[in-house]
Amino acid sequence: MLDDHYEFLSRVPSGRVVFVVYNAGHSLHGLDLFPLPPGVVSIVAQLRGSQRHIVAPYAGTVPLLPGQQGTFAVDLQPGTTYAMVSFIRDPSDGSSQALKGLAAQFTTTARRP
Amino acid sequence: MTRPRGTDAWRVATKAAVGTSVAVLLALSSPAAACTAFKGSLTLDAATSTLTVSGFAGNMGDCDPAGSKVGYSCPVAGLPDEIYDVELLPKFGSAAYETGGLHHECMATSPHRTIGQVVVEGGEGKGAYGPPVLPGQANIDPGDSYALCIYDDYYVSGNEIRVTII
Repeated sequence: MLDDHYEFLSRVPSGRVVFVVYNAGHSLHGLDLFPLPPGVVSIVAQLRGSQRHIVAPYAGTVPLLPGQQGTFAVDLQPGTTYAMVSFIRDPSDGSSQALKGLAAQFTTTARRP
Repeated sequence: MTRPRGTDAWRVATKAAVGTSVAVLLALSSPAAACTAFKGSLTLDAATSTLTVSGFAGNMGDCDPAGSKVGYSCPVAGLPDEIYDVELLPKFGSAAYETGGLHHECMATSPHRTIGQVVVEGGEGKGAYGPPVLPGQANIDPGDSYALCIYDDYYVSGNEIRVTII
């Protein structure tokens, strides 16, 4: 995690995946992972839109200080789009980090046999 | 510590507290092995930004972790009997959950953290549950998260249901 975006592998396989999340930024950051609900194409557009959706927390890290690392494992479904979001708010202006770049998504690929 | 079971005074006090204060609940305690094996759901009406609690089923009372009936109030299945309050806790974070568990979060809840309530209507349990409507409905923001606290006539318990708004 950097202060304004997530860096992650371009291809994320389905099945059991271990996420090792490292805060390489200068602020407190976090990562919540959840599958995008039906009808939501883009997590960035969703967060900036006016109609809210409800999702079940799937996995994630506790808030990580700069230099800290968190790890969690999840079972990802093939061909499913997941979002990664930091909902931590910037203490300086109260704005969500999700609206400052810490929101991304990926679609899982089939795991090779 | 337990409350007197089925006292009218408690019910009156509980119902009177709806929408105003749940301070009376602060004095409650609960057993270490309280049943929290509830099932249910929180849903969001996107048109009105209203959260609704529905579909309760599970155990309530001083059960052991395996769910066997060792206490007074522990239905095996179906709606928990004699629920007096169901509260929605806002801004429920994973850090708080990890440090004390939702059960402890519910015990520590205070009026300013409670945003919705449901009260059993129709007398002795298994009544109708009305949906809690959030005050300030337009202020449901991405990243808001909610959890449930359930109170029966003895104990306060936490439900594992949690949701996040995007």
